[in-house]
Amino acid sequence: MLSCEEISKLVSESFEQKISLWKRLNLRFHLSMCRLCRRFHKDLVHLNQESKHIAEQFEKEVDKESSAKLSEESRDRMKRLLESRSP
Amino acid sequence: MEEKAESISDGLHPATWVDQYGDYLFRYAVSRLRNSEAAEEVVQETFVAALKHVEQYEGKGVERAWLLGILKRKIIDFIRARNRTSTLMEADSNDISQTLFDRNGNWQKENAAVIQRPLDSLEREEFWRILHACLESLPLKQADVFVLREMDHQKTEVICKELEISASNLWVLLYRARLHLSHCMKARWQQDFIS
Repeated sequence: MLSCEEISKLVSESFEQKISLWKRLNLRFHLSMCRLCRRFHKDLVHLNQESKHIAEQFEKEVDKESSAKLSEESRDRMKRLLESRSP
Repeated sequence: MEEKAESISDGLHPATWVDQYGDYLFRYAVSRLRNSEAAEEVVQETFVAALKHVEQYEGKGVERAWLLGILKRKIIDFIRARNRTSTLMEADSNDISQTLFDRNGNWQKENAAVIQRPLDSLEREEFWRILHACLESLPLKQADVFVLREMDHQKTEVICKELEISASNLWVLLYRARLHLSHCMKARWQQDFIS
């Protein structure tokens, strides 16, 4: 019988690769019995989904008034740099 | 179709890059590197590299996507460089598994709450704020592999090659990162509720 700690490792591993049949059966059996490990599994699913969603937002959102901007200083520096190196 | 045709015939306009794409690229870089100075550095490198390769731009796709492609490469280079100096299994001073599991490997009772999924854009921003803060509290390498894996969706082979680690090392790092993040996020979320 695997401990919750060992199962939590299997949960994480199962996101990375197809785990062996033996591990898969152990995992499934344990999750069916253990509420806290089910929660951990669910946590990781949410964490992965939201990380993905957030990452996509950053790629899509061209204008976002409220959030971080380049400082004026570095903005000027980059402009001068581009100007000086333009062909 | 029209829009696409226009951007091809227009070509590139380096003089407008900073005003048009500077903040966008900066925010993207901050989301991956969690450090403003590092983000500024890679954005500047992106512009310089883009200028150098202006001739190679063949009007395929829009200017912004082209610049973002260069930025992504620069971010990976930056992550590789900043991890080169850190040892493989960086001192993980407060081993999270000791906090979360008892001697027999069972969950400690108090870690029972579950990560709340954000329901709207406001909650999503809060989720990101907390995730960002929790990533900052992780050892650098753990945070970087998590970002490469779960935000950039880089393949195992790519991450392993860039960071010069084995696949099993990567999985250990990811496991520790996930364990820590799930714990940290729940703790912070509760804190925010109370305060």
